[in-house]
Amino acid sequence: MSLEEKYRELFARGKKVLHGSAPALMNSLRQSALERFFESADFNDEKYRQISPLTALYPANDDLENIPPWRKTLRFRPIEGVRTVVVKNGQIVSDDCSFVRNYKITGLRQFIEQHRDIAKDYFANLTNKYETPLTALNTAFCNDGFVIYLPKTVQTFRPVYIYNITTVGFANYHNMIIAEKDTSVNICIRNIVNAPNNAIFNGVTEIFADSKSNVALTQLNDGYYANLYNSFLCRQAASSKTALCSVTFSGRQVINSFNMRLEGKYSETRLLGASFPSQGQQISHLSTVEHSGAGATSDQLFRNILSDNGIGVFNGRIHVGPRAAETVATQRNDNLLLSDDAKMFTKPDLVIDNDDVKCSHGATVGQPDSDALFYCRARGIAEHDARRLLAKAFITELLKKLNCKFASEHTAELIERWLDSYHY
Amino acid sequence: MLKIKDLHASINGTEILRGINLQINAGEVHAIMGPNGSGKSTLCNVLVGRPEYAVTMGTVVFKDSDLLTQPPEERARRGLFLSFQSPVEIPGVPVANFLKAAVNERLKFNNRAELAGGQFLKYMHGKEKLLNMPPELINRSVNEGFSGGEKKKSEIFQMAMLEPDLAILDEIDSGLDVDALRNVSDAIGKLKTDTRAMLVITHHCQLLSYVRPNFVHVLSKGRIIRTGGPELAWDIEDKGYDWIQEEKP
Ligand SMILES: Nc1ncnc2c1ncn2[C@@H]1O[C@H](COP(=O)(O)OP(=O)(O)OP(=O)(O)O)[C@@H](O)[C@H]1O
Ligand SMILES: [Mg+2]
Repeated sequence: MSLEEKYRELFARGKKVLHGSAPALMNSLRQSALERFFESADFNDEKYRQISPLTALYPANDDLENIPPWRKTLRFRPIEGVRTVVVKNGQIVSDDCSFVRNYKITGLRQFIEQHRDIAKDYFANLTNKYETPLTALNTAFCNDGFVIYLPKTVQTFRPVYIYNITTVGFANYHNMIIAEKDTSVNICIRNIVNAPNNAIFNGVTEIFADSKSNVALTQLNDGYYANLYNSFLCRQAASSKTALCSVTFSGRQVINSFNMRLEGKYSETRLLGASFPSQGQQISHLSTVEHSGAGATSDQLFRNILSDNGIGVFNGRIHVGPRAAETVATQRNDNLLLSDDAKMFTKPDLVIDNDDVKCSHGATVGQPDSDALFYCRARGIAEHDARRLLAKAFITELLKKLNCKFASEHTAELIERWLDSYHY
Repeated sequence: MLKIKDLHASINGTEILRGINLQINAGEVHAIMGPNGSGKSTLCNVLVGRPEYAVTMGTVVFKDSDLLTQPPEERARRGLFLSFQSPVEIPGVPVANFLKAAVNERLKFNNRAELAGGQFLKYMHGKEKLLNMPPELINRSVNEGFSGGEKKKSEIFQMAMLEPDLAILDEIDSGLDVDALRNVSDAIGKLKTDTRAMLVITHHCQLLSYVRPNFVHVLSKGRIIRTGGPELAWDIEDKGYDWIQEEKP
């Protein structure tokens, strides 16, 4: 059976599971998206080859509590002072209602059904325009996801914490964050795939930041042996601010891609990424920042710590359009190699079609500084601990740029645990 | 405390130390002077165990144990401290975190209880006061963006925190303005005890007039060519090194 046939069979089988109960708005896009997926995807690419007709569309390991002890850091703990939402296999299973709120967090299907007029303006708006094979695949197979909808002038104070656990073998979730004028929200997503080896998690998050809105989103990924693909697409209106941070601790093959469209004047975005590829893992960050509005600012920092035979990839692209005068754009990718077998491929890229810009980009790949290591040793800190100290420092520089206190503390805690578990 | 016998060391195949003999007892202060490139920093680096330097001959005994077989961290935990001529910057590691790790390693090695967060801060603030250490330096990353003088102050502060048995200070006085020099010298004075030994490397007498060494050694081309009292330092300041070298057969 060819790979295409496998996908078609899965799609046919999915029709029963996915289409039956899904809104027409979702179903109407599927078939054509599937065809475009076949046209655009390179089937020699490892990431599409994990599929099999046996791939589960149903939950494989349905038990939230059934997390192996060595993964217990993943277990859900309620956190005080934040609105906690548990999402399992794309569906919201609990939402803490302990306080009044004036904005919605709902399932995607439910949102489309209840707010058809709003949904039709947003759903798949960006994925259709800036389609990639992965987002086309998502559109074809999408079953659910969550929507955070902030009507005009809603400023949220408590961070939103989404504990997002996936146990199915082939998951295509589509999330949307719709921030209307003058809104603000801080979101932290703990994204966990507790599924069989080689499972595919192919998520899409569309972010619509209307004028003067402020959206901060931190996503903390643990894919373990699954393939984890996250596509973020974001459209920004005038004077909007976004801050996206993606931290990946594990995953067989992981691709975090960002497509930022700075359309409005004086819009701002900050992209942060960190990952820890080790033991046969490959973790990629792909970013596209399109400056089309004047006076917009973008700031990107991606830092990776690679160990064992881990592989890291960074492909960054800034494009400053002809109308984007007074653009300020920076892009950095720094990588720390803790082993000789680790590999990093980095390609920062800058295309400028305007004279009135301030842009910089750069990348570094290096081992822990031997002078600094010796300095630590000369003060009584053994090499192993010194390497840990330097690794932590390397990643701390990035955490400093996270403005949300909850997100930065939670991230710091998880990073600390990762560093503890690693043998330098 | 420290007994160096016929120490030879080389870097990249070039012999730099060519037979050093030196004994330092508890409570003594020794000074080493010598022209640029004579091997002073090399001696320091060899003593703290910098891997790039190869010891080709000789022995070093520190506190009754064979120093040269110990890894650098063990030497430090046993109480050997070097204030580096040019300390490195470690971005992202706050001075306090760094010192907490270092101090606790030393305590642990000596089978003493480690200092928990609160205790450590109290201990650190005590030392801050003692040395008039500006608190803002301690909140920053180790040496990051420190001026030359601030780096030296920070080295002395680290010495105070680690309470070494033997402190080697490699040109602690270089790059300091008049006030900073007095400040650092005062601090060294406060850290002098009956049991602590010090080896001070300098080009200038001014520091020595504060720390009052018991012995002054002159190092030239990898050998100690003369040892005398503090007055030797003043002679050197007056006449330079050539006359000493000329006296050698
Ligand atoms: N990494 C190295 N590679 C090659 N030669 C070196 C290296 N480090 C030091 N040397 C050489 O060893 C010699 C002694 O250097 P050292 O730094 O010990 O001198 P010093 O007495 O401390 O001088 P200064 O007063 O200028 O600090 C010099 O000739 C120097 O060039
Ligand atoms: Mg020197």
